[in-house]
Formats: sequence, C-alpha cells, structure tokens
Amino acid sequence: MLDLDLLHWIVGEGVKAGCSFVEVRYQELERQVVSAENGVLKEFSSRLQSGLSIRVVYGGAWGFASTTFVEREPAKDALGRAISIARASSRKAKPVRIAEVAAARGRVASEYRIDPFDVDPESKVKLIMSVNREAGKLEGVANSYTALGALRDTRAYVNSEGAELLVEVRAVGFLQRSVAKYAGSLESVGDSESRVAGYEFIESRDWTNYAVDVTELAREAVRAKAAKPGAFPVVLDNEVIGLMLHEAFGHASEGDGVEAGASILKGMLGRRVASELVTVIDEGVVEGGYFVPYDDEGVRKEKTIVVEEGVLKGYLHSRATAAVLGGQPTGNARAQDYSHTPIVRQTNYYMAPGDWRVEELFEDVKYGYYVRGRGARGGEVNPGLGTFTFRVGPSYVIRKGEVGELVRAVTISGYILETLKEVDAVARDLKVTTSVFGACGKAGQRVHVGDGGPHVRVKRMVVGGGR
Amino acid sequence: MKDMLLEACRLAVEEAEKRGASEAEALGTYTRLLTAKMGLEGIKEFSSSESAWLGVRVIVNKRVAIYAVTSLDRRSVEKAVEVALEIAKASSEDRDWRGLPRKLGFTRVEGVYDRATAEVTAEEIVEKLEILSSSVRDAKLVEAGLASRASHAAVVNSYADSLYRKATSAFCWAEAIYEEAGQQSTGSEHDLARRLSDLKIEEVGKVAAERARRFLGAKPIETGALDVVFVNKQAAMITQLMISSAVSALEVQEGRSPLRGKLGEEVASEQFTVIDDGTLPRGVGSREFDDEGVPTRRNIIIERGVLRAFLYDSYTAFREERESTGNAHRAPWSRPRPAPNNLLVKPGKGELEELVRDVQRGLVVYDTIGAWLSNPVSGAFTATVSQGMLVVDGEEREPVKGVIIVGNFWEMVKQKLVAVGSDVAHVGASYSPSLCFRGLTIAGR
Repeated sequence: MLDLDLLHWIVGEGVKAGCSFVEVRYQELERQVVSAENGVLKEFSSRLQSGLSIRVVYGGAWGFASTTFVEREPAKDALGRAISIARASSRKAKPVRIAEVAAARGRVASEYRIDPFDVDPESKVKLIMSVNREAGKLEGVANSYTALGALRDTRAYVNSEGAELLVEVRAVGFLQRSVAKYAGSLESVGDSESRVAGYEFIESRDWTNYAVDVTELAREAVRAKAAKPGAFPVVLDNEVIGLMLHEAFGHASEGDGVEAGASILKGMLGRRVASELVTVIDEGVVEGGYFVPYDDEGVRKEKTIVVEEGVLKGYLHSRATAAVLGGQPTGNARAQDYSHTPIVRQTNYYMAPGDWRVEELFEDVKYGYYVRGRGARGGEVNPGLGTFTFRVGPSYVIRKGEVGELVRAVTISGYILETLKEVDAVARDLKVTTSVFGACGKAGQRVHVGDGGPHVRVKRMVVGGGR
Repeated sequence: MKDMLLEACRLAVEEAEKRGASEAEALGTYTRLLTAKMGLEGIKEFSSSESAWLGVRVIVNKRVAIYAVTSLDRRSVEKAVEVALEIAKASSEDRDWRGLPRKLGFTRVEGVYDRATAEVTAEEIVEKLEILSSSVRDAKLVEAGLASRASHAAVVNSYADSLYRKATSAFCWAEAIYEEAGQQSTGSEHDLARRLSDLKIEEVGKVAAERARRFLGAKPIETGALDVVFVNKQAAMITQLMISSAVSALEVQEGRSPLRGKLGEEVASEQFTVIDDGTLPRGVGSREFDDEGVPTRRNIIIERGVLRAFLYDSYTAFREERESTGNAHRAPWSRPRPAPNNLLVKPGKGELEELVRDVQRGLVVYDTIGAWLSNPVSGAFTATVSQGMLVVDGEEREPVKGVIIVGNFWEMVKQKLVAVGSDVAHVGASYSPSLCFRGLTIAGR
C-alpha cells in the first residue's frame, strides 16, 4: 500500500542522520501474461511486486538500498545500509555532483477506461484461446503462439529538496507468433501491438484478423526467396527506423556512455552527424509511446531535441551526467524498478517527420528494398563504434519505383553515422510504438521504451540475404 | 528468516485448501544482495537490496494457476490465494496433470552456504574491489565489479510443510581496454563461487588485462575448415546453451529437442560424458532440494557418448509415470521447468596447451558473441569469434576476430570431437574442460 507519510518519514530520518540528499522511491508493479500455444492454454502468469528504495548522498558519496518490506523498521534498516555503503565508498569515489532542478510536485496517471486487472480471467482466456485456434487453423502453420499482456506501474517519488510525485501507468498488448512450414523449411514471424491504455484497447480491435495477418505473412515468407545480398537504396518503415535509431544512435546519445568515453557521439556536440533532413527527438509523453512524464529522479521529462537538421544538439541526461558534462537534466534517469538505481535511458526516441508523401519515397528507386519491421528479431550494436546489425522482418523488393515481391527476413547492417548521412528523403507519417512484452536492456536493467519515426529512404545500406 | 518464510508458505497452502483447492503449493524466497562497480575514478555504483517473494500454485480439478507477490503479511497472502483460485477456475483443464510431488525431502549438500559471504560488510566489498581493480595491470580498467548474495527458500505443499534451504554466492568481473598505435582492444573475465573467499579476484583482473593486450590488432582469417579449440569457459557456455534445453523432459515431450527418441543411442563421441549433479560440493547450482521440494541428486545424462536420461520436474515425470529427478526450476510467478542443477562435462586428459600442441592448423576460441542466435531445437550452432588465436603447428600465432563458426552441435560432439581437456572451469552452473573439434566451418574474409 502506498503510504506517502512513510516515504516522508524516511527522508526526514535520512536528513537527521546527516545525509545531504535523500530520495525515496516506492513502487507497485502488477504484471499479467496470458498465453496459448497450438490450442492449449500455456500460461496465466500474474504477479504483484512492491517495494521501496532509498538513495542518499552522505559524506559526498552515493549510497543505495532497497527492500520489499514496506514498513518503518525495514525501511530504517535500508536507510542504514544506504548510509554504510556511502561511508564505505566515500574514500574511493569522486565527490557526487548533481545538477540543480526545481522540486517537482504532482500526480499524473495515463488514461484508461477499463482497468485490465479488473477484467475477469475467464474472458481473457476465452479471447486468447479463440484467436490462437483461428490462426493455427491456416494451412501449413507449424506453431501458433498468442499472448495477452497487461501492466500497472505505480511509482511514488519523494526527496529532501521537496519533490513529491505520483505517476501511474497502465498498458496492455497483444502478441502473435506463427511458424509456417513449406517444403521442409520453417519461417517464424512474430509481432505485437501495445498501448498505454486500459482493456478498452483490447476490446476495440479484431485480434483474430490481426493474428491471421501475422500468420499469412509467415506463410508467404516461407515460400519467398532470400534477398540478393549487397548495398542498395532502401526505404525503411516506421518500425525499422525506430529500432535502428533507438539501438544504434539512441544508446550512443545517453550521457553516461558519453561520460565514460564509450560513445561514438563523444565530442560531437554542434557537429553534423546526419543528413539535414534528420531531426531526432526524445519525448516522455507521445501518442503511441510509453508514458514517462517524470523520470525516477523526479525530473520532468520534456521534449529533448537530440539532433536538429542533422546537427547534434544535446545528450540525454541524469542529474549527475548533466552536472559532469555541462548540460541540463533532461528527465532521462530511469530505473527498472525500485530495487535498481536510475541510469540514463531513452524514453520515446524517434525521428521527426519530414514533408514527403510515403509513395514518393519509392518513385526514384530503380532497384532496392522496402525494409519492414514486422517479424524483426533485434540485433547487436556497438555504441562505441557505431556499428549495427539487425534481423528485420520479411521485406519487399523495390523495382523501378514499384513495391514488388516479398523476400525472407533480411539482415541490415552498417555504421550509424554514415547511414544517417545517407538519408535523402523523410516522409510525413510519424508513428511511435511501445511494447508491454519487450523492454530495452542496459546494465542489467530493463525498462519500457517507445520508438519510431516516419518512413525514411536511405541511399545505400548493406542488406544481407538472411535465412 | 526461516520461520517467516515457512509461516507465509503454510498460511498460503492452508488458505488455498480451505477455499477449495484440491492441492496447493507455496514457494517462499528471500534474497539479500550487495553489488558494487568500480571504474578508473572510483566506485561508480553500489547498492544493497533485500527482496522477498511468495509464489502460490493452486490446483482446482486439474486446473493449475500461479500468482506471486512480494508482500508476506497475512492480508497479502490471503489475497494472493484468492487471485490464484480465481485464475484457476477460469483456466482450462490440464489433462496431463497428475498432482504435486509427494516424495519431498533433503539431500545433504556441502559448502553451499557461507556465513562470511552472507554477512560481508560494505567496507570489505570496497577492499576486495580495490584488489580487483589494481590487478588490472598494463591495460586500462573499464569496470570492475563484485557482488555477494545470500538466498533463502522454503517450499510447502499439501503433503510436506517444513522444507527450507539457504545458500550464498559471490561474483566478480573485470573489463579492461588496451590502446596502442591508434588501435584498441578490450578484454574481460569473471568468476562465480559459493564463497567470497573462493573467488579468484586477482586472477580475474590479470586475465582481463592480458586478454585486452593479447587480442590487439585481431582480424578475420580466410573462410575454410579448421580445427577449433573452445577454451573451458567457452565450452561451458556452449554446452549449457545447447544441452540444457535438449535434455529437459519438457522440451523432449513437446517435440522441441533433437534428442527425442534417442535414449540408449550414441549421440556423442566416446570421450563425451555429461552429468547433472545437484549435490556437487560448493557447486554454484547445488541445492538440497529443487523448487518443488524434491531432493536433488546426481543424474548421468550422456555416458561415454550414449544418451542415458533426461531431466524431469514432477509434471513431466508423472506424465511418463516416473519420479522427478529433482530438476524443477521456477521463478515465483511461473510454473516449474526441468533444467540442470550443475551441468558437468567430465574431464579428459591434458591442459589447454597440450590440446593446442596437437593442432596443426586451427583456432583457439577465447571469447565469442552472438552464440544466443544458435538454435537448441535443431542443434544449429553459430557464434562470432571476438577473441581467437590462429594456431599453426601447435603454436598460437596471431589474434583473430570477426569470423563465424557454424555447425550442428550434435554432429560436432559425435563426429568432430577429438579431445577433451582436464582443465575444468565453469560459467554459471555449467562446468566444462576445454574441447577440441576437428574441421569446423569458419566463415571469414
């Protein structure tokens, strides 16, 4: 149970004990996943996690401790642990510097009509089972997996500078993964749709149609040829540009990586890093994205312009990286949950829309690929070198300005600063998406993010055939 | 801690039965963790956490449901039982459900709990971290880290009410970078043990630095077939990845294991023996009983190349009318699955140098990335070498990176395994010596 008085009490105890800064975070996180595979209910997994953490500055050093026992005595014990950590570290740590911010106060909740945790389990099971069976019925389907996910994340934040915040997020999502078999080979396509919303989002859609679409794509892809490997002009869809920006550029723009010298963007402020058509934004609350009105240091998350018309304008910051690198805190200090310290993370990272119509992007392409995100499997990047490789979804050939036949899941790879300079057309169709199923991992912490952009054309990109 | 966990578990089972569950089970856990990271400029992150979980599994006429909470007070436990029962009633019947295990108990296991590790202070952690970071010599420290954990677990079900175990573990790692003539190279190493005092702290720092220096200027080699020696920790990572799920009875029953139907058959070379041992003294995966309360034991999986057994939890065992092998693993919020406790590849003869000495032209693999893209269902193995050494006439000559090793794991261990070393090391709870394979496909320049 949320008890703001308890949080204020701990802050007071910390100050009394000699801490120069104290912040207390409380969280209640409820998650549910209902899944079916090949017509059998596979799992109805549900959990409710709650706990609090205390971060202090004592003797010029950070200390941090957490507990799932939300009561005075264990909280006091946690405070003691945090202080003893700070005391042990102070001899071996750089004195803490944190940028000033105005203490924020407020209560915000994402919009919803029907709380997904109020919906009875039976109707969820019914929905999942019926969609799963319909998708599995199609000819040549070797496996059909369907899942429904829901989360409620309530976070309270109080610190010794007078901040007091309460942020509540509800999100739901639907996932379909189908494996199609043809002539001895298998192709798997998975896709999901999530919204920061209540159960009304689930009720508003025809999920059988959706699951059948995903399955049809797998059935087509298993019959499709592999792409011809080489460097080609490509049109990237909203999902692929989002994935690429988030992974290969977004992580490099995080202040902690820049500070540690592990980013290709170190020392690049004010320099050209992309074509002038490219503007990159990180924004806390955006249509289709995850909901981050404040970060886990109680800083308001505004719209941060990272790249403006091709020029690097700023990094993403926590209060600490802003102080060290000389910027303003941008509201990007986020923690997986109460048991983790906040680190610099993206919120909703996207490319701003341009003025091309989507159809126009294809017109001048003699031979290339329309690279699609549905069915993408992720990849690997090195933010220190700027290299990336992604396994994206089944994609299409572009021939003489027309979208042609489907090819199997392809691999795209490159060097992000070169790729972004090769962007020669940006469409107007901005789309940002998030996921309740997946999360972005960094330093052992996973957080929900959003990403996206408009359709984008890149003059040259290495495309691998994939298998 | 023991009393608190057992009490919460008993309450959950009692409440569930009172409210109509035909059977019930509760898993209670409590974990305390200290983690610290140090960079060149001192301590970067240092945290202490304690967390409790209660996972309730209830069964109502073959309908199974699980719900987990972090609050162990009476009200939260009652609420958890209520939600679990509600989910159970909405779920469909599992025709294969035979019941919860009844033969619960302990196996004596040595050296899994160490008081000094459980009660380590923040000062001691900082001292050890300083030793670790200063052992990174002739290369620049990127990060040194140290963690110590104490974990407690209790299992109560409708047939047993007092199972409790506790264990400790400690983990350290180091990452170093080396720069010379405009080129740079990184190296890392880690160690995991039941006791803080068993960690090879100085060795970890030393190896990370050596690796960073040694692989400077590594580049791809030509595509071709080469003999490949996987250094012990790499071999342990790969066997864990490819064998764990293949020998899980659940994967076998569901048709997702390449070993299905092969019991008694030769699936590997005669030199290859693999054992699951939940009782290994000081083993990092050792425990007195599994997550369902079934005592752990030693299971021979592959004996001199012949597949002898799969690993079971009670669900998969009862499906085949046999007993669990004590291999149930679960998070409090998910159902159990069979997995190895400690996976051991039995050592053969020879240190790494001796294995390498017998290679005319080959590759010694120290580190890889992307092995997770391998497919344990088909056995298709792939990994990109990030740190390798080209061997010519039994000598390690030049550093290699950026080449991809591809093959089918089961074909590798059956037809291409030529030597099993004696130098056992572990990654997580997977233990293996270095392994040498003949003629693997390397995709390079």
